[in-house]
Formats: sequence, structure tokens, C-alpha cells
Amino acid sequence: MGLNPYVPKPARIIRVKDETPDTKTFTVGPNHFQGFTPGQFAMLTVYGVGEAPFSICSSPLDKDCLQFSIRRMGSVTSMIHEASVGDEVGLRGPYGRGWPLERMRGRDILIVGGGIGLAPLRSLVLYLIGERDRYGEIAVCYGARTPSLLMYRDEFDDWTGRGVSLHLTVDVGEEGWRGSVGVVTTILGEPRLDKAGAIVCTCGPPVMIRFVLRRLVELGYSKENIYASLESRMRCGVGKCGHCHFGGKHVCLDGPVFQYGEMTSLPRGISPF
Amino acid sequence: MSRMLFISEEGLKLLLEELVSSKTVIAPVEADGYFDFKTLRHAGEASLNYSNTRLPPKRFFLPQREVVFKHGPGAGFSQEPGYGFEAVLFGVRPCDASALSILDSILLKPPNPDPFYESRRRSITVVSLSCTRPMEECFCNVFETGPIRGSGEDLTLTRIGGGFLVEARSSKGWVLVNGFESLFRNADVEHMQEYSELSRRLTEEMGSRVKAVKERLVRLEETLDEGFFQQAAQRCVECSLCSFACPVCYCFDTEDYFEKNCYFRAKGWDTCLSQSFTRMASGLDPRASRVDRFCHRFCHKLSRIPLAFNAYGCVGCGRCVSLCPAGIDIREVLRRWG
Repeated sequence: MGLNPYVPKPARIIRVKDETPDTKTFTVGPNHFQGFTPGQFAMLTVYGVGEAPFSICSSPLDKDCLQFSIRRMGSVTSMIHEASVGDEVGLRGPYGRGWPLERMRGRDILIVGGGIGLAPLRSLVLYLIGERDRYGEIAVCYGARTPSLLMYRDEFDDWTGRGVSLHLTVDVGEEGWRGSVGVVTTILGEPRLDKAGAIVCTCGPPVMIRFVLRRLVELGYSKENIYASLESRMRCGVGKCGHCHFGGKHVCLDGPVFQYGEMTSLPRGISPF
Repeated sequence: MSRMLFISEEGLKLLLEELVSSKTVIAPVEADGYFDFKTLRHAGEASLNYSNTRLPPKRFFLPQREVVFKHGPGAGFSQEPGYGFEAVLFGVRPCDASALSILDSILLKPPNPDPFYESRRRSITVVSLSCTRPMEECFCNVFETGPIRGSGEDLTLTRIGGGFLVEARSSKGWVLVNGFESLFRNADVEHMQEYSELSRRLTEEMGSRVKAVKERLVRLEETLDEGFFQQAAQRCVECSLCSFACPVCYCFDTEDYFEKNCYFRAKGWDTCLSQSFTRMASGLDPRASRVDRFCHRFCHKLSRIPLAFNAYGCVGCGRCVSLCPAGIDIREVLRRWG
């Protein structure tokens, strides 16, 4: 008999960090997902409450633990926001198809995030700067509604110090904000990259992804090099429960990272077009 | 076709009696004017004079609700034991048996086969009974899932004069036949002639009902006619009977709870017609409108499951047609796009 894929592996919360007013980053261990690909996700269980999919936001180079940035939203996320260091959670995964690391080797890379959509991209950024010499230029364009909603702010200096060109923008500024104001599409032209060859990875709210894809093509990025991570309600993560089956694709198996061309054949609603 | 056997009417009666005395036998039983699959207490309870059962035998493989794990303090993780039991499911129509082979393509697909379903598929022997009186709403011809033989069965019985033609379709089927060897004999030329004649007549009869080419249904995804579905969706009362009575619908939801000092997770039937099926905690819903959910139901069966699993999500049993309180009829979709 096959293993029961519905049983989570137990893990404990090692650290809890306030990321933004409604989002916390949880560090959990042990790392059951050795060798996962950035962009993959986990099903995280709060025992007795429920389970939901979350992007892994830590680097696969971190062998000891996994990190998840979780926004307080529904029952599972509200309960985990009440959790403390030492509490037990359950993990299943890693699931899905992550960012196309193989295709990125030797190329320029543009990473475009919106709000909490930076979580699966942070995993990628940390991985890339850990293996910096294998890649060309790395640029990150990141936007949030306000400066206080920018995720991972305290890590930005480290990213830039390790060869990442960082471009930030917010929809609405706050006192002391000296960066750009406007949606993320307004800063997409800033990074100086080899547009024809660069690989682009994006994640954020569906409406942002739609306009980012459009702008990227206008700027001369090649469609076949553009990837986005999509989100969906899921129950199993292994292609059995039917919740994330759109068109001929399962977000949990064929995604969450999709290539531009694959997204054009997804049905309305889940397709960013 | 494998070697055909014959069992007499009397022989089948004996076989059922033997089976009931030694293991769990599930067969159609008549009650309140309907036929439903029940565990037999004695062989005489089984009724073989039915067109089809009101509900498919899906629940014996995919229970409406089942515990998938239990996690207790100090006890570590444990898989809920006791799933899977030796049984014979007797008198399944070829359409419903074919639904099992579709579920196999989906639920047993590597790398993560559903172990609960897998265990039941292994332990339950499926004996089908050819359909000689298809109902008005049946359209198994479209998906080649009947009326004489489907896929997914271990043993296929076809009623002919004086008894039944028997075709073992799997090793489990042969185990059953070999266990009661004396009741079976090789079919003779007359039996085979009668079988061919019956097969020809029924194929002709079914073929004249819904003329659709299943391979063309993949177009449904590309050429979705919004107006057509909008009209039907307006009539839909979202009762989900079509999903729950479907022998193929397999989508499930999960529920976590705490009981007797242990954490549990159960999975149970869900339906894509439900308003919460794709809605995320953030409120975002990629399939927010009823028309979109409605389109998905048909597209999922006719083009999305084929694209993902290389099988059709419908066997033409006709239950959704006869049970829908709003008279929504999948055959209209087949006629139009098939």
C-alpha cells in the first residue's frame, strides 16, 4: 500500500517575526523538505483547525529550517498568528513546480513582486545570492500599498550588498518615504538587463500580474522567459481533491509557477489575461 | 476478448449463496420502489431485475466521509486503520464499473495515489451485469462504457437464454471463477451467437439516441458558448445532486477537528457547484459566478479531465439527467459539441 499522502509531518515553530501589521514570518523546523525548489509550496496544518497552502519563503540552502510568511486572513491563518515558539504544526510537501532554476543559469534575472507575493520570490532571491556567480544581473522590482506593508525590509541592505539591484515603489507614501510612488509597473523599466534573454519571475495579486505581464512584453522581455506564480484554494496538494483544477491544469501539480504561454490557455478567472 | 464461460441461472443462485456465506457481498436490493446497493444478509435479497440503482456504488470506494489521519499527543501519527475489506460488489452496471476505471486514472495516478481508494479497489471484486434494458436517459454509447461491457470490472456477466455468459476481466475475476470452478463451463457456439446478436441489437439501439463523438468534446473548452450555459445556469438551484449522484465526481473537501484528546482530519464529498469551492480566504475567487462554476462542471467532465488524466469524466449513466430538479441535461451539451 502506498504511503498516506494526507498525513502531515510534525514540526515546531522556532521563531516568529512580525513582518508587517498583518503578516508574520514563521520559522519552523526540522526542515522536512531538503532540496526543494524555490517557488514550491507546503500544506501547513494547524491541528484541529485546518490546513492551507503556503509558499516556502526561505532558501533551500538553509538546511535546518523552513520559513513561511503568513497573512492573517481566515481560520487557519488567524490561529497560527496566535501560535508561539515551541508550538507544533504539521507540514506536507514540498509540492508543485517551482521557479525554472535550470533556465536561469548564466542569464539576467528580473524578479517582480507585489505585497505578500514577494514570499515565494524571497526564496528565489536568497537562493540566487547564495549561488551568485552562476547568474547574470539580478534585479528585484517590488511594490506594496504602503511602506509599512513592504515585506522583508530589514533584509534589503543585505540583498543589495550581495549584488541585487533593488527597485521599490508604494501606492501611497508615508512620512520619511523617499522612494517611488506608483504601481509596480511604473518601475519595471528601471533595471538595465538583457531583456531578450532575461528570465522574469513574478508573483502578486492577480490584477498586478495581469498588468506586469503586459508591461514586460511592451518593454521587450521575451514571453517564453516570463513566469508567474498563481494561487488557488487547495485541499490535497497532490492532484486529487479537484479544487485547483483549472482548464487542463492543476495549480498544485502543474503550477503554482506557470510559463506565460501556459497561462494564456487557462480559463478566465485563474488566467491573468 | 478472453475465453468466455457460461453459468446457468441455477448456478448463479448457488454462486451468490456461496459468496454470501463466506464474505461480504454488496448487491442491488429493492426497497421503496428503488434499487440500491446494500450488503446482503442472504442471497435472496439481491434483485437482478433492475435498470440501474438510484445511486452508483461509488460510496463503497469513496465514502461520503472518512478519517484520513488521527494525531494524538504522545501517540504520534497514525493512519486511521480498518479501511479496505474483502467484498464482492455484485451486479454493477458496466457504466458504473467504467466509472471505477476513470477514478483509477485520477486517484491512483502516481506519484501520490490515494491509499484509501487503492486499498478498496484491491479488496473489492467488481462483478458487472450487462445492461439489457437501458433507460431513456442513458447514453453509455458516447463513452463506450456499456451497455454490454465496460472497463473497471473484474467479471462481466451477460444474461442470455438459460443463464449468463461470463467473462473474467482481471486476475481478481479469475480468482472468483477458479474458486467455484464447478459452476462454470465453457460457452458454446449457440451462447456466443446469442451474445453477438444481443450485443449488436443493444449497440444499435443505444447508438440511435445520442449521437456524439467524444473526442470532439475537447473543443468545448475553446468554443464555450456563454449564452447556452447562462440559460442553463439560471435554472440551476445549486442542489449539487448531479455531483453527489455521479459515479465519477471525486472532488473532496477536508475537515479538521479535535475529539477525545486527538486531532483528526476527515475528507468528504465536495462539489464544484458550491460557492466556496474555489474561494480563497482573501475573498478572491477565480470562479466566482454561477455560470463559471456551471461551465466548469461540464468542461471538467468532458475536456479538463481528459486533458489532465486521459479519461472522460462521464460514463453516460444518466443519473444527473433524471435527478436534476431543474431539468438540466448534459445530453444537450453532448449533442451540441460532441
